[in-house]
Amino acid sequence: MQISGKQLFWLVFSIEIVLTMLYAVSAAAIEANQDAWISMLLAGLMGLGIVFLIVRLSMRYPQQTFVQYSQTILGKWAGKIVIIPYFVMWVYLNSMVLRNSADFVYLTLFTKTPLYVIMVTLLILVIYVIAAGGLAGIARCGELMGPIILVVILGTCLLSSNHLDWHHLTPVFIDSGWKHIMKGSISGVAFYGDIIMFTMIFAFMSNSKQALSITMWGMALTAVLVVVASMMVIMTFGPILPARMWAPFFGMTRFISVLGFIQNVDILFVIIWLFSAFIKLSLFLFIAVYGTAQWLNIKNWRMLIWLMAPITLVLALLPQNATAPIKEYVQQMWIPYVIPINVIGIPLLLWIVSVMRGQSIQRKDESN
Amino acid sequence: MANKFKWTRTQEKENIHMNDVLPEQKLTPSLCQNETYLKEIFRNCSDVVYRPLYVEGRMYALVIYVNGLIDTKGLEEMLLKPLLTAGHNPEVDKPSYFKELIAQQALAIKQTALVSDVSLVVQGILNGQIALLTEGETEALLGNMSDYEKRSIGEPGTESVVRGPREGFTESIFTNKALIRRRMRSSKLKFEMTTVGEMSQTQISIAYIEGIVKPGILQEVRKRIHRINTDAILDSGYIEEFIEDTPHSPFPLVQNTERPDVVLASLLEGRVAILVDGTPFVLIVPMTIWTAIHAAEDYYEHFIYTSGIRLLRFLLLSVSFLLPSLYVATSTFHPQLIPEALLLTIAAARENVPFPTVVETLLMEVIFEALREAGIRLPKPVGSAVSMVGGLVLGESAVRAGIVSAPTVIVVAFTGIASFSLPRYNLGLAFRLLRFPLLLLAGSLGIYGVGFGVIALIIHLVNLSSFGIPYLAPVAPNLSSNMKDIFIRMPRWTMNKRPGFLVDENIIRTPAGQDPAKNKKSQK
Repeated sequence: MQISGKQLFWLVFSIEIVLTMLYAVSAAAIEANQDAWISMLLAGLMGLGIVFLIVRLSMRYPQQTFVQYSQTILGKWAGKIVIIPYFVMWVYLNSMVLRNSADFVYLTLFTKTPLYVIMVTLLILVIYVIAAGGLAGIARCGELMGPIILVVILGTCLLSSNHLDWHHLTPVFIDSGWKHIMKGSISGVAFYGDIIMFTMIFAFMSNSKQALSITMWGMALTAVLVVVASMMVIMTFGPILPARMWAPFFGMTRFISVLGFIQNVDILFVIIWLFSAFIKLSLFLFIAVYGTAQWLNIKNWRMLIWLMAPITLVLALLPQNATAPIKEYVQQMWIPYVIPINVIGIPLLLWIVSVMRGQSIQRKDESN
Repeated sequence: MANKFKWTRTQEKENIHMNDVLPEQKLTPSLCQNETYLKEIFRNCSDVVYRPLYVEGRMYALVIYVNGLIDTKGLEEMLLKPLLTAGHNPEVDKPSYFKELIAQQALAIKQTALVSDVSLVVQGILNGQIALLTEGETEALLGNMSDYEKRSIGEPGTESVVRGPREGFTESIFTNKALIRRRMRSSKLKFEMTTVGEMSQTQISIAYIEGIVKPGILQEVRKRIHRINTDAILDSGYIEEFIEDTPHSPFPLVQNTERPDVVLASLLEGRVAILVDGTPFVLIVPMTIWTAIHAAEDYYEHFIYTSGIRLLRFLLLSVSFLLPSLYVATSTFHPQLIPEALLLTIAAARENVPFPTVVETLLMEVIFEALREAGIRLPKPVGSAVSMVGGLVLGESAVRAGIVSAPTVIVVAFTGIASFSLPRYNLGLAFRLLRFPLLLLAGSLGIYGVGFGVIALIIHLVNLSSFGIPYLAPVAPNLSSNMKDIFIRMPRWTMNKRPGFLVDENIIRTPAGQDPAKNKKSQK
């Protein structure tokens, strides 16, 4: 199982873009109103900072996954204990992504079909790709679907451009001020924090020297598109409305009408949402399964999927409504705990310890 | 363990049973004894001819051959006449006389061989050689005078072109090899011979170009072909099923063609061709899915036109797979997705139809497939009746009677046309087949069902590989340097390299700097 640089790029892009674009903008607009795009810009920069941190850390041990090098750095037991918050994150994040994806499909396409039907069918696809192809299979799917996602997003932006009003963006900065803009950016960071999952992936790269630049490029493209998307949302709906909308960018695509013929482009958006959700779920479930296997020293990691998938399904069925998994989860779980501990705290700690110990495991071919 | 042992033993027994001559059986000096023995082997084989030659009432030589497999005129001129004259020679009884005859080159035969094993004699006779046995000699002379009735070279039925060579392969492997060799006068082009099939002893030839093909791929082809153990090979389809990577996939992992130019183009890209005697279909491995939208003609027509056609084919491929399910999904589950005017038209047409859309579409699809199948199987004179019944009765009358709606007929008809536009028939078959499960998914889960089906298909495709080469290469895994000949075709002087996922060495096809526009400038 090896992945190439291009595959990593498309994985980063297709995992980060859709969810952030749909949900983070509305969370930022609550705080920053028409300056939400500045919040997203800041969030993007902070996302790049996180990428820099975790890739530099991972590249000190290019042959090892996060689970492995945490043990190399901290010793066997401390290294294993450090993984516990990540294990919780994996399981919980998977179920939230599953719930979210199913909710979106349910709200846009269905009225009577039970929610668990969508969840189970999505999980079937995920299990299929992990069992049949593993990471290489997921990466190739990403390579096929990533460009489609990009084209559809660019196309929707282009087609929505006829009902934009620049005046909605003004006044810039004065209404909200730094404090609100910063607060608004936190939810964006929460979405970009997903990138921490990739600490388990860099070890599979065929050419690990590219890891930093490629992940940065993937993140940068995502950040730029999200900034553009949030500007367009504000220019379409004004400063107040996006904060109250469930998925403002998706709402915007529903306004598209060219010549009275190109209408209902939102269905394309549902399809790329499905692609993105599929890639995100399968990669994260793969990471959860593979990481757990490494953590507990289980040889046959594929077997764990039959344990992990039902747990994910059950946890995903728990939330009461569609906003709970996205808003409450981000507010109550991700921002106060996951971002400071999992995304910044522990990686920073590991990096400092690693640097102080002067450890670095180079690639075998370089040391020989 | 015991079970396994038992199994291998029965297998050996089966093999021996199929070859009824003991391999170590030798010819005896007595001609009569040899004759009786061979006649026992060829018991009831009425096509085997024995032509004894007598001197003074005593048989001194025997010619054996299979009627229809050899050149009878040549036999008379080159073998029987010299032998009959030689028969009057008093030295004919001398045991070494026969060898001398060959040494003097009295027998004008293309290829000769001396064998002493009965099994080789039998094999030679069955291969279309003549066997000459003489009194007092323990070796038989096998002469190659093979000549049999064969179809003349015609235009390939499955891959016709407007522009390009019109020669297609025939059933004779020798003709086929000649067709390839005539276009490639290089000693680097190799044809490795082998036989497969315990009883049929079918000749198989592995063709490749030395220095271009990856040794790993070639070795894998050899290994898989030698692995085959069966009674008979009647078409290259038999071989295909034995050597596929994932036999349970509906997608063909081995390409077949009737065109020598396609074979050579593939060989030049580092692929391996497998020629099978008795069929005009030559196999090419490894195969990628993109051959579904590539026709031979793409390389002979202008590249701009070709690129446009390829994009069209790509669209038609999607149509042949997706259109019926999208129609069912949108009209049943998400009518808000259809533009209003169109929706009203469809609704008006469907007003009197008694079936749900999914049943109606499924019904029409099945009828269409039935018509297509009947069109192939029916004797040619009845063909026009089928098209009459199909076109008029099923189409026109069914719509007029209100059993099916006109939009459904249009959708199904367009889907059918689209599926026929693909240059590779067997890949079109796979997509046509998968249309039905997708239709059911669309009927039960709407657009989401279609998305589910498409993602499942993508997962299946990215995990397929043909002889170690990913089926979707060079798109996934992405190798953008090889993308000049996938969705579009770049001009020939820019496609200067062989595909990197197939070839390691000798990768340059055309040295740089042959852009005619630039050359024109530099001349000025």
